[in-house]
Amino acid sequence: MYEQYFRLSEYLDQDASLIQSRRLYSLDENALYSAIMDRLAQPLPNGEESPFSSRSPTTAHAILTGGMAYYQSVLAEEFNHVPDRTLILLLRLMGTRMSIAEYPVINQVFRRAPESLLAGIPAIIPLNLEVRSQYDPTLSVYTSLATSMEGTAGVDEVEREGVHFVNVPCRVSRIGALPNVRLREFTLLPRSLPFVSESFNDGRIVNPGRDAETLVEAVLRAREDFRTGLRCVTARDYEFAAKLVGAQKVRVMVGFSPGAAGYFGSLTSVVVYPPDITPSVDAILAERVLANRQIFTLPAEIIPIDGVIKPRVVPNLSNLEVFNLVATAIATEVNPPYGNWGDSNFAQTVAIACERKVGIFGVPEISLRHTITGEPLESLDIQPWQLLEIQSTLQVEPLRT
Amino acid sequence: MSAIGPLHHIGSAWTLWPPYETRNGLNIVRGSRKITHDILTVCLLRRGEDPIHPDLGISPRLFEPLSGYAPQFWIYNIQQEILKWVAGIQQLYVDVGEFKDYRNDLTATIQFVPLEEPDIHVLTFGYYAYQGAIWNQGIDQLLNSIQLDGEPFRLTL
Repeated sequence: MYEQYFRLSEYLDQDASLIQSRRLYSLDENALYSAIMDRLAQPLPNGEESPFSSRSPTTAHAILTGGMAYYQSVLAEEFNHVPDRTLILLLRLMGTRMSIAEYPVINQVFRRAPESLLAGIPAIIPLNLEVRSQYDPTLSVYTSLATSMEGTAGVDEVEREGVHFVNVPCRVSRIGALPNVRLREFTLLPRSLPFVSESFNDGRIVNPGRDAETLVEAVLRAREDFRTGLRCVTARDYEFAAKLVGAQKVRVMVGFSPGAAGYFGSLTSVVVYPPDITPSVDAILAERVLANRQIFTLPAEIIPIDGVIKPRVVPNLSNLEVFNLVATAIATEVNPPYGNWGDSNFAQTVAIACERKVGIFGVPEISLRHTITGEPLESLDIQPWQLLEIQSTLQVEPLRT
Repeated sequence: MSAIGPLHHIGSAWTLWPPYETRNGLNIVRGSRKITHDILTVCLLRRGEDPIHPDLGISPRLFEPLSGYAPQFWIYNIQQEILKWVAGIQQLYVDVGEFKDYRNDLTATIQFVPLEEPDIHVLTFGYYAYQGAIWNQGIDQLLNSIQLDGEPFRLTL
């Protein structure tokens, strides 16, 4: 009997998935209750007072809201008690498998030694050849295919692949996402390899590798899969499909198309950023769209903007520091893929992004214009499929009074 | 947006007594009717029935007698609970009296003066209908017997 117990505890120690994972749903029923009651008490869109403006717990809407929040928290609590093992089983029943870790693969360049070039002796690179990192003794790469460099060449001849050098995809020795690897890090060749003068990684990544999927990631992925079902019906489905192939910002417009007047009932226009992802988005949407639905995929129209920003700043900041602050704010919050589609309050968006930076009190003056035509921002007719992008010609004039 | 009037601060609410009207949809109350509705909710909710506010309502006593119940206990308890939960009351007076002695009935009377209105409102309902509603019988008899200022509470003012 004790033997059984020890076997079980040994098994539990080895199986990492049985360790308590973090809670999937952290639901605070009191916060949820307050949020719903606040929402109910907001004035109506036409300015009238809400009929549910009272927040006392004796009202019918409070009792209903309280019951709903309570039952939701009970469900969340029950869900949190479901052990990982059961969740994995459920995911398997649904046809979802947790994706396993993958080795990263990077490109490695092997150069032929000059003496073998002149003499015409082939340089053979075997399979599973180890090239070690010059910085990390535990890290190395292994060639994933056997090649050779053959033929002769003169000294002044243009370098050719297969004669002078060869590219070999190599597996990194560590499983999981690619660790920080420096350019020309893998250079230590084995001494027994003849006629190869040097080898290095040129920075190209064949496969970035992947860590093992956690249970939370698997649950979220399964939920997304079930939501879309490999088919585009709602705007969110279009967005999901477009983001699968690398779109960073998607706008779905039903019924009308940029540049054409009128309403087209069967048309869905999908505007994507970055612009060069458009053919891939078009391809994936074409196989997921419903019958009798026309798709028009087009790149986002990007309007270049510059002008003058006069932020009020902390006195001891230099002009360069202020410019860096403003530039960081714009690059991380305003410029694509971060801004809003067809932003009619663009000056305000820029000002708010700048004011979030420590060191800038406020932006009392801001005048923006079209970079090419010089037309002021106020007179531009911004359309919902357009994104505004601030150019590096923006002038920043700090106010220190 | 209407001008701020008396008792505006207590807001308007959806009432459960009754929850809707045939003509006007949801039954929304404000002002002294909202106070009346809050009092009725405190009277009719059992303590622990609302999971978010587990103290709301009146608690039944263990082995409470179904008959021969002394209304004085209820009068004392319900006064405390109403003053604790209902906003906008300046003065409160609760009594249970025998107005219809020949029918062996008792009537609960709750009189309140709102904070901003120089007016007294009288809420009455049958005491035995109320006891039946919170114990083991239907609520319709109680709802029919509720009167605010001499008029049935079901009517909109």
